[in-house]
Amino acid sequence: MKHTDNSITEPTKTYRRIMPNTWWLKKGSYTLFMLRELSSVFVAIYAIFLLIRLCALSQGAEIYNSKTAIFNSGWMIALHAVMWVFIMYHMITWFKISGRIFGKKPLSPGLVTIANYIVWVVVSVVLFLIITKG
Amino acid sequence: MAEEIKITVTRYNPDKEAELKTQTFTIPYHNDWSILDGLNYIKAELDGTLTYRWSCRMAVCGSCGMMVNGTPRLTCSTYLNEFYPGEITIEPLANFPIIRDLVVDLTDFMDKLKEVKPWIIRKNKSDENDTSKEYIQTTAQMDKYYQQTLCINCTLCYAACPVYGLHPDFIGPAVIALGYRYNNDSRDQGKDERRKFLASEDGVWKCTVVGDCTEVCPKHVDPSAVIQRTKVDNATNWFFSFLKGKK
Repeated sequence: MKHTDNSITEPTKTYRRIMPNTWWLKKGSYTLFMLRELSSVFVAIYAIFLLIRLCALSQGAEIYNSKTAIFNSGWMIALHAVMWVFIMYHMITWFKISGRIFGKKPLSPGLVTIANYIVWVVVSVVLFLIITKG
Repeated sequence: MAEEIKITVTRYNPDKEAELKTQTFTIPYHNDWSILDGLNYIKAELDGTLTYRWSCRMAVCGSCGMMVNGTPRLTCSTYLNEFYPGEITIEPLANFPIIRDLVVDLTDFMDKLKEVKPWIIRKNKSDENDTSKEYIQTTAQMDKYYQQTLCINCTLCYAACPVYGLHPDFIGPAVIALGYRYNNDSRDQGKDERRKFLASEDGVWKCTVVGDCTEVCPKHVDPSAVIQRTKVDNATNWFFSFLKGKK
């Protein structure tokens, strides 16, 4: 226990509670927090998958098709579906937080969050157009 | 028959017991009674040894914070009618050592509070005692920190913070919010002094943005957002210091 310079009647015996390893299951907000932390793992896995695809793409169409054939399997599509849910959750939570961090006058937190969504939609549409029409 | 409500409280006597125990009291239910009124009834009528802190009864002093059904609340502004006819469980604020019954040891918080230097710092120290000088502030300048001046040091945010529970060295929400309050005061010049503490290993970077500190704050200080803003400020400062070749 730390001591303050001016403490006169500092307690000599206190009871310390230890947080159990399951602390994050005791409250909904703690569980959601842990899910957000877990979602980072899926973001990292998706980034690795993307790098693998880009690396294969740089080696030509034939090698790309053979090296990325595994991504068309059923379990991989299911994994991507799960990753998509977690990545969306990751994005939504951080967009919400960014509003509270940067949402100071004259910008309201809601406006900052909405701006994030607008940028996300615009970038997604531009990428979609480049991929499908390029 | 008069309406009644059950309150279960944590009991701990360091001179007699090694472990915590609970005790349930049945008290009269009044729609306009706060939980603190209920505790005062227990102490006055049922068991005078029950120990807890309270003072102002108007959510200003910040001394009556306790865990009410698992959530940190000010018991003077939490009412029995929120829970009636259900039962109420009162525990000491989480994450702090317990001295006796519902009283926790705030020494750690008080030490950290002092370290963040929650007062106006001037580069020219003689300014701090010179009452002849006037530092005019516009309402726009005051708006930058006003929300954080509302902190009453009730430490509910510490009880809600699992990071503080797991790592008691973490400076914690209220102290960082108070550092932010003075850093953003146009009259203050102590930002660099406070940065050593706020950006230390146990400072803002330990926060993992759980966000419950903001949820439980009775004065809407929003410590969670303030901590993230302080991170942005420290990162920006580091970046520009790096560019200038200071680091």
